[in-house]
Amino acid sequence: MSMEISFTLNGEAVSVTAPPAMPVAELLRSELELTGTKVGCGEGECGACTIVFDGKAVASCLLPAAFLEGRNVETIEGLAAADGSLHPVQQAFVDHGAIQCGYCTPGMIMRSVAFLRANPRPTESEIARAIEGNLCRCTGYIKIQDAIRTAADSGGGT
Amino acid sequence: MNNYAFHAPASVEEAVGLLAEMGPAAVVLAGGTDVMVRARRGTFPDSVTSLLSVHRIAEMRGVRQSGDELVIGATTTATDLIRDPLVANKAPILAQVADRMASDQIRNVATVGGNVVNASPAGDLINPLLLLDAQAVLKSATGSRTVPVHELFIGPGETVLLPHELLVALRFQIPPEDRVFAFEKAGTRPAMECSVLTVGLAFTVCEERLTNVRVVFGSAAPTPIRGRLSEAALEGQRWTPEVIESAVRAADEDVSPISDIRAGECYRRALAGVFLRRLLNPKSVATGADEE
Repeated sequence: MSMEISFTLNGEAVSVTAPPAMPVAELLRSELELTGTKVGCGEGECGACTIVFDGKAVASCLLPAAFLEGRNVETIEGLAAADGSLHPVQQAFVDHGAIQCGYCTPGMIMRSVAFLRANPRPTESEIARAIEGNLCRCTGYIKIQDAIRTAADSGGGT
Repeated sequence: MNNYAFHAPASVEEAVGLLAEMGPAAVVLAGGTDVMVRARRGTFPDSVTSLLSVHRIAEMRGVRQSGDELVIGATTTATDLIRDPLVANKAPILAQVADRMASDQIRNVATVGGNVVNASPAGDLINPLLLLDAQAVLKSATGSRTVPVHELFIGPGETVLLPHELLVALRFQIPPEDRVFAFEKAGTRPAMECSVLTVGLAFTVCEERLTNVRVVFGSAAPTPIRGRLSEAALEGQRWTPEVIESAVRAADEDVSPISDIRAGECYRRALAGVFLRRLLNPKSVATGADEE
């Protein structure tokens, strides 16, 4: 069974038809062809699929499509400006070399964006705790934390 | 999972009406952090054909005071608990435990009711609910009943809820300000882990004696349990090292942990006593259970 679901995606009104229990990660990637959101474990443990849903970081692999009705979704594809310039968090990740294979990166960045909006002046331990739900196999996390620090210091947490 | 029928009632009345029709064919979906995983793994019985989502039912979410009780709606999320001013003022142990659960992504959607009904012996939020002597409010099309949380669990993943019943709220008497609460958790890493062992403690000091003691063990038995022998070793006793050690010895009798992928039985058993001793250490206890 499918239902029509209308919601705001990266600032634009969209409407899709999808099975109500389809995980949003699958909806984004297959139905909307937005493959920036990655699927790692598919069970909410790795954070790779993190999106911002009504301002909160959530694992899109666990979010049923039906929950999107009337809500606000932000994905990695919506972060850069219309002229292509990167969001401050994205730029900080690039500048710090906080990206290796890149698989955790969209989820890390979306998590960081939600975090910095809620906590624009975090301490070091708050930054470390903020990404406790995002696994990275490559970087050892230090450069990711440095990037979040830079983004916070530059006031780019919006 | 795309083949499940999906219902999203707008009220408790509508939800229990649907449950009355569908019974065991329906699984109630709250935050999805357990149900979506099970749906993906295909571990629901073949009899399950529908998901009944309660996400539209506003009356099931939120914290309110009712007389001398706090009432926590079943779809209140872990993040809600962490941010709620009533919880912070009246029962901060709930916020402290919620804050150590999983990750922000999970806390933002996982619900206290889901944690209870999922009935894992490792269900972290069940621990403080037991410390608070909470009651579960169950509704059905034919009425409602209230079950003490410590009588809810039959076995791992199993509760006394009948197929047509819906958990709508948890409620408990607001504890007095001098009541002490403490909680300790072990896991394979500091976040995003299924607890290897948890110990919860609550007591009131009255004329230099420990009274109204509650000890709760998680991941130490087939269900979250009250440590009855540990409690008995402490109840009415003076708060001395000898009494603490007698409770630690009793903890060994209270728990019946298993060995699994996360930890061995011996380690869990040892941790139960170590944590109980740590929580009972007067230097680590502050009235009102403020945690760093």
